[in-house]
Amino acid sequence: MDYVYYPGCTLFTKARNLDECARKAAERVGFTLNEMPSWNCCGAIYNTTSDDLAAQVGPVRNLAKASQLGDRLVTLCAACYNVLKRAQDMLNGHGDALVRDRLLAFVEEPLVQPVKVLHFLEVLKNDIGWDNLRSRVVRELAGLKVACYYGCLMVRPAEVLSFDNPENPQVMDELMGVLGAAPVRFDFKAECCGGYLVVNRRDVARQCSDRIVENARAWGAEAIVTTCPLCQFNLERLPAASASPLPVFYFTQLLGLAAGLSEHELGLTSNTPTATEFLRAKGLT
Amino acid sequence: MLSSEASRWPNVRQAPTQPPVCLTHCFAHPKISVQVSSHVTEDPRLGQIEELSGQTVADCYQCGCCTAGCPIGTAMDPPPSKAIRLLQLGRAGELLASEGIWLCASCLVCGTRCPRGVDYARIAEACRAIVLRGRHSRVDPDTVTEPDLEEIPQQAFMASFRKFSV
Repeated sequence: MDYVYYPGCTLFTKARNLDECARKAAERVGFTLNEMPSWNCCGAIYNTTSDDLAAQVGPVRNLAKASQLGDRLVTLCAACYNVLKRAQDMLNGHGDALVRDRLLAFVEEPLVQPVKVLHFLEVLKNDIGWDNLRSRVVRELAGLKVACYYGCLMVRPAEVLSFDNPENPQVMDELMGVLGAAPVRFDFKAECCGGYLVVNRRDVARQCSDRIVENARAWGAEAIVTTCPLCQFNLERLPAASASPLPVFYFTQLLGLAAGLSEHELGLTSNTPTATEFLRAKGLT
Repeated sequence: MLSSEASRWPNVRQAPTQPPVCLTHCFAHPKISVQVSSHVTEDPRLGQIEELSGQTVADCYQCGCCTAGCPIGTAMDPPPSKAIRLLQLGRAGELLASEGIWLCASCLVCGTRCPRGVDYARIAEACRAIVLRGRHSRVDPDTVTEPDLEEIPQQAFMASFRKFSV
């Protein structure tokens, strides 16, 4: 199976390990990500101010381009997923018609069909299927206690994304179960990590991230799994230095590990050294 | 009415000493007059905030679910429910000058849990837009330090500048 894929800017720079590992893991489990040509930044955050059209141009241009290639677009980064899916919802007629017409007239290519914005996790669950995926596992992550952290961008606004239960999402937990790991219950799987407040209010972002990590630890997690480069950064790097950090993996790294990718292919060098040590200590690499 | 501490917390077994108080009497009392209206002032900025955000501040009945769920609620001043209350009372200027609107990370927990369908993240965004359009950047991209640029993922800068810079 082939999918049109939108990587997004962070996956081409600081989160290269999310992009590269995901492409390889996808091949291992039976699908191919074809990067769409000449994509641009999605804007990283959806703008809700009613009269701000300029901020919508980025995602709308991407969707118009993607619509030439197919009716589905796969994303990996939680922010890209959120922004593109909300922009598509606006274009589908849930927004101001005048705004929509002006935006579509502004971008150089027409939107030839509505684009269904998918997350990699949705492809795994709905198109590949858990049973099929289970048969591709060559290295069970037996006994690995992980806290699956979804954050805000994967689940809210729930009525637009309709991705999973906004208060208690499950899809990543199901995936970890299929890979042989043991997802733990914890309280803050959809709580904000502080996001971009890290730029000017690192103290506030740290407070948010600390609470999530400590709660995951209290519920017995040995590692955290996430989908978003910014969540990964905040949860891994911000918590107070005094506490022993929990390794924070992308779900694609654990998928790749279970599907037989080599340690090098997982791109662990971009994580903290704790992540590599942790997997070694568990006998998984 | 509530003349003493004793009658504030009456013993349930005690016979009522006064007939039930009608609320309209309460509001009509000269010393505790309350004006129940969302239009106590004619601050044009309230209309602007409502238009930019697409929200109606009078819809909020102050249950506080938004503030309870807000991950930054303890640091945010005013927190969501109080911010909306300021708008209801015609004190938009106080909210626009506050720190609180700059601490919202648009995680959308408040709006998701609001039983009245009010999305405070949009209200905060409208407030920030009004301030930013007055050419007052909150985060100046030129002041980001080299170590931060090296370390923090791009999407954070993109989002931060989108939300906090002119």
